[in-house]
Amino acid sequence: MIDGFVAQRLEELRQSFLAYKKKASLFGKAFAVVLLFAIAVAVVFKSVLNPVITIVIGVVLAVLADSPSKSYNKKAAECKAEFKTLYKSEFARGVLYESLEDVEYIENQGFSEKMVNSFDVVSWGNRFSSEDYLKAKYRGITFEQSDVTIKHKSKDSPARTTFKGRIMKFSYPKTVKDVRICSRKTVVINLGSGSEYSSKHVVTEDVDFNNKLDVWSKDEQEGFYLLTPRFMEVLKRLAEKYSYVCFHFKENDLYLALETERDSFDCPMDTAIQYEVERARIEADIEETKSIIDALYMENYN
Amino acid sequence: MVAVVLFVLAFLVFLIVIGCIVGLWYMVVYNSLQKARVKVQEALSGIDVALTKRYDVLVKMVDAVKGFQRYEQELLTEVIKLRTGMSMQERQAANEQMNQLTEKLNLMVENYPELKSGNQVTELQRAIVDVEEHLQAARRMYNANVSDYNAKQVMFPGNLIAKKIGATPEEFFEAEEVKRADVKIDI
Repeated sequence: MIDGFVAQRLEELRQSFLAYKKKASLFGKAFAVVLLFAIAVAVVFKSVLNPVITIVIGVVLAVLADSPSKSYNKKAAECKAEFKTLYKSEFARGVLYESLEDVEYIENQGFSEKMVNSFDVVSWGNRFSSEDYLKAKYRGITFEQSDVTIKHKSKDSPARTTFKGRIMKFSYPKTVKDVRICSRKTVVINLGSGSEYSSKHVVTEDVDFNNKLDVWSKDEQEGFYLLTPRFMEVLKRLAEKYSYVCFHFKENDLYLALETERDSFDCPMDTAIQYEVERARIEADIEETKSIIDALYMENYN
Repeated sequence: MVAVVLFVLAFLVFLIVIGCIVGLWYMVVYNSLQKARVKVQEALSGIDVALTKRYDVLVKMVDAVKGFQRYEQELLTEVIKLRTGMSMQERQAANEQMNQLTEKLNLMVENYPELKSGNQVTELQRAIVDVEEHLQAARRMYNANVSDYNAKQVMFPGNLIAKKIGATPEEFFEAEEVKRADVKIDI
């Protein structure tokens, strides 16, 4: 469990964040109210007061009323950043150390953009961020993972999230040329190199699997070689659970993308922290990784 | 008179268009059947490659343990004979013989633990598992392609053309009879 002092500090930060957000919201509304009042006064008393001067005075007062809002937003962001760092370093890290071996966890670092691009498991965008780098071992298999968020922003539209979730990298003991297994709905997304167009589409004997996932392989038989019945069951379960999943086997590496639509080790701040619930959530994510490793029988090769 | 000529011309154009559509349809269906047949042949060669690899690894394994049971090597060289152009039954029979030999070899390794003292036998056991997995993959791929090819021949419109071009259903690579039989347990 978590240290009492740390828990107290986290709760203080959470309360401060909520308080600052509330004040920022209040002063933000004051801006609109003062401006509208100034316009109303200028219209009603136009015979007595100069409307232009009235509106200018109103705008100046509105801006002055809004400046505390910006200040409170900045303080709220600082509280949130400190909360995140403390939560991850003191609580999430502890759960990871209990569940895995040889843990290396860096909360404010992640995979580089170039590295994720080379994995070829997600469609691309022009806004990239990554954090929560984790390297650990399970049953002799070393893996790395990171939270990745990719967005696409064009000139005329707001930024659209194209991927938010976990990306993982494993060393895979079997040598495979190039096999990619992705959720069905992502067939039309360009995965960067366009290599799927030189691969063959593998159709398995499992109709349900074929409806949920697409398999592309340079060598059709390699696709069947990797798709053992147990692994196919894991893939189907993942495809049902997540909006997007992609496995890319290349040479002796396996790259995996799971669109979880959330950050792995973040904690919601709008309610009191329930440590048991958060622990269970982190452990469930770790169990997911373990089940993937078990399904691929990696432990048989060490 | 002009009307009749125009009518005949229109009818001819109609026939030509219909003919083109039918021809195009025939070409598409024919090519689809041929492509499916080629995929079956490719998959069959994959099975042959996997069977050959399995045979080669078993030969090495038998060489590694030959000091312990001489007759097993004879069994391998005399009974299991892989050749080109084997029928599906012959392939299945050879595969089943290799299954039985693998079981005997594994049993021998269990009964003579000193066999594992060197790395060779352990590596070969691992290689046997790997080639068996490749054989399973080749079998599944072959059966999936055969299923697709056979389905095209019985479903419309492929069934209209299949008989004309001499296409016949292909055999599946069946599961071994031993494994399909009910398991008997003596208590």
